[in-house]
Amino acid sequence: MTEASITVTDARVSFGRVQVLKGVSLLVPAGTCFGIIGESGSGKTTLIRAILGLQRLQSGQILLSGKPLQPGRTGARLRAMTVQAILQDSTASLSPRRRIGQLLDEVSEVLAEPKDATRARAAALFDRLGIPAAVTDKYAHQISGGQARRVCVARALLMRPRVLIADEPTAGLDVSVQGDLLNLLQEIRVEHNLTLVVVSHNLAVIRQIADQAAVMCRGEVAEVGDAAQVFDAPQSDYARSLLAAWPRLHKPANL
Amino acid sequence: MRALLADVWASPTGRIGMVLTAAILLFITFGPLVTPNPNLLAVQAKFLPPSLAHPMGTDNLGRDLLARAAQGTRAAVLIAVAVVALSSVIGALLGVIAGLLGGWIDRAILIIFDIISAYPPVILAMGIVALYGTGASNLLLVVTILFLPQFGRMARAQTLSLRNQPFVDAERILGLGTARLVTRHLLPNVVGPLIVLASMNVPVVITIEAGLSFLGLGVQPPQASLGTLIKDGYIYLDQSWWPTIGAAAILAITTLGATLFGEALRDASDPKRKGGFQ
Amino acid sequence: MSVDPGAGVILSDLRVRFATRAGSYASVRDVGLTIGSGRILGLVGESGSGKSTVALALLGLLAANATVETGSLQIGPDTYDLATPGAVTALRGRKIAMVFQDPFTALNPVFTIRAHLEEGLSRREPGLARAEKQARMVQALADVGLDQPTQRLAQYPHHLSGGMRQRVAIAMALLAKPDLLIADEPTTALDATVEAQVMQQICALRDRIGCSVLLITHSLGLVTGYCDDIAVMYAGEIMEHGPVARVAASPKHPYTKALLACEIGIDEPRNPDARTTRFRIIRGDLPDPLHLPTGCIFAPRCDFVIAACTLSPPPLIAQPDAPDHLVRCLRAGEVT
Repeated sequence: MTEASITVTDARVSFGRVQVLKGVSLLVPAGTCFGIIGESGSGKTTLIRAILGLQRLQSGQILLSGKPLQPGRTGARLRAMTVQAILQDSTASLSPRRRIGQLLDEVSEVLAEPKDATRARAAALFDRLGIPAAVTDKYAHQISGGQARRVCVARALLMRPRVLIADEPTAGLDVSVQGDLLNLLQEIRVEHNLTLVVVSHNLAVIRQIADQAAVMCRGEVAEVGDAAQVFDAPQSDYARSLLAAWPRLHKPANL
Repeated sequence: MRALLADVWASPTGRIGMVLTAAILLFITFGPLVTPNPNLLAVQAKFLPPSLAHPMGTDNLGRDLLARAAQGTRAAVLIAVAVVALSSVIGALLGVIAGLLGGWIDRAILIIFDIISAYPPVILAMGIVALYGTGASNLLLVVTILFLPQFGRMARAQTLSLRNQPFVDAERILGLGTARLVTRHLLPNVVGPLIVLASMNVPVVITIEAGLSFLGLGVQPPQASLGTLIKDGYIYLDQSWWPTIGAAAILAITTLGATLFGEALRDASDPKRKGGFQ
Repeated sequence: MSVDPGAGVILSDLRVRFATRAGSYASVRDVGLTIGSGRILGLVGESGSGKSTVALALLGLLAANATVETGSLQIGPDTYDLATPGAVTALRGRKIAMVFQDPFTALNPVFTIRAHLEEGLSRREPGLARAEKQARMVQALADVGLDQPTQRLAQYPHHLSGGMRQRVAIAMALLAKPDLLIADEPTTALDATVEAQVMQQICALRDRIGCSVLLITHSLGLVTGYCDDIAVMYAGEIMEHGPVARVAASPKHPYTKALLACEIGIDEPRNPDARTTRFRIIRGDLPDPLHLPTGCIFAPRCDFVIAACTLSPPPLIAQPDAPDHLVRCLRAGEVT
């Protein structure tokens, strides 16, 4: 068994009287692709927000690479250097009043790396990801959705994270382009030796790319295990009903 | 910004506002340079009607009214701009902090805003003047405090809607601290609507300054103010009507220009007020 | 466009022009749809295809900068000219009903469910007795599978979940007894399990009142699962129109074929090493609506493109072996 990249132990979060996470425990092995699936209200978004430090836990613990994270600036910086994320709406996750180049410069501030060094790494990454260099002088609304997605990936990779979380990477994308981002994730996952956590309601996508998968339901983990097992021989009733409801192509018309 | 000004120019009232504002700016910039000393007394030349030498006539002490009007308008505009600048910057900072951090800080700042808004402006001004004396600097302080809540509440509301934008999360995930998040990513997004609100408040401040000075609570003699010009003219109305009318006309032009300009700016910056164009 | 005598609803020659700062362009060009009575037509397209513009034109709800240049709508024996302003206003809520994408905004938050249902019912059948009205509304809510229908009448939209709200919207359509139901992405905001339930309710409504249904969606899975016919739109034009069974089994337009190939199926074999899995995409971007290609609008992205494709726009023509299967492609016969 390889080392654990993320360990979540008995995580609990409530908003008012609603328990959003009711004691979630998960282990994401390093170097794997871990899929988290669930419907709206399942708590999957709250769980990754907690891992990213955007949501405080009421109780429970999250370890990144075996270490608990310290609160405050140092903790936030260490966390950012361990785990990065690509959010659902790429264009909206680039600050609208700053040029792309200025957004990349923030990486050098957080890493305490000379600006030129970061820019040089960014240029190499842009080249690799097929982003035109001219994009650095533009604002988020001036670049295409596809470019914005790649810029977000590049910015996350500049932090040299060990874990990359992709939140609903295909939501809101047309079928003809959703594969573009997925293929990119698949490539960088190998190239950068990343642990990839993909959160999605799209079962078919998770089934194709995940090594392991967790099914969440109403703040609890309904089922977790090897993706092959979870999708092809689900043990829980919930996972079975979820799989049965997923629309299938080429199904004979409603006769 | 350039496109915004072009939109203002495109609307008829906005164009009037821009022309009037430009005229007032020219008046206060070059007026004091080309007119005689506004405090030069010439008792033998008192109550002169408008003439080539004195386009707005002279007052009860023979001072040139055009020169005094230029000085007074300049003071009014400078005070208004200073007040609006100070209260918008401080208000925006308080509002963004309240909106971003929430909790007890948010509640405390809101309570301060409520307390300020609860006082009628003139009563509050009288109280502060009674405690600390009259003068331009006290006037500035009073009106700045009065305008804090407006700017603060707007900045807070803007921040609340920005706070849930994905880019705020994205910056946090990158490891950016709160101070940088506020100054770099939140304030620039709040500035646009604040500028519009500020431009709409300039005429309000000019009117308040004139009102307080009229009551003797603002700018003190011999320094001229539109308020004191109107008051002095009012005292001698039976001997000469032009000082009051002239000063009041300039006050009206200044506030009208600034109001029309501000309203056009608001309309131009509000995407919902522009037709269905994409 | 061949006219099927048994068709319930026929839209023909719809052309919608948009005026923008950059210039004006026709965002929907020569769109025709045939929806038989009691049949569901799935109008599929990606963002920018103009599928929602078609729905809004049918309802007369286009934005102020859009104009219908040509287009006629035939419902049973009646024909309406869509280019006449207000031609379809009287049809809304009577002959045409609508289920919108966002169940959170389509219902008015300050009115009860009763008020929503009553409005349509009173328009459809004025002078209905109170008790009869009440019974009809309760029955409608029960028909769409809502529990405690009597109590639901007094509730406000915020008391209901997204799926329940879409059921209320379907119940409203049920009471209006339209000839045409337009459902614009009715399940996009819903989870898969709720999506299945809502689609089943739409099918049930169709069976109950025998109306034609226009389902607008980006999901091929929904169309192949629930629709009888399919129309594929790309950049404002119909690329392929025909029975689902035929089109899904052997698409004749390269775009339809590529779209089907991009769809990630839940039952497809899984790669043993997930790291090596790659997905299909359609290379290139949508054409700029202000500068459309001279020939076929899909030619720049097409795998089957030949020189003739770029010369003039191909017509939408029926397949030799199936008059109801229309394809806009010069090489339709060669696409397999």
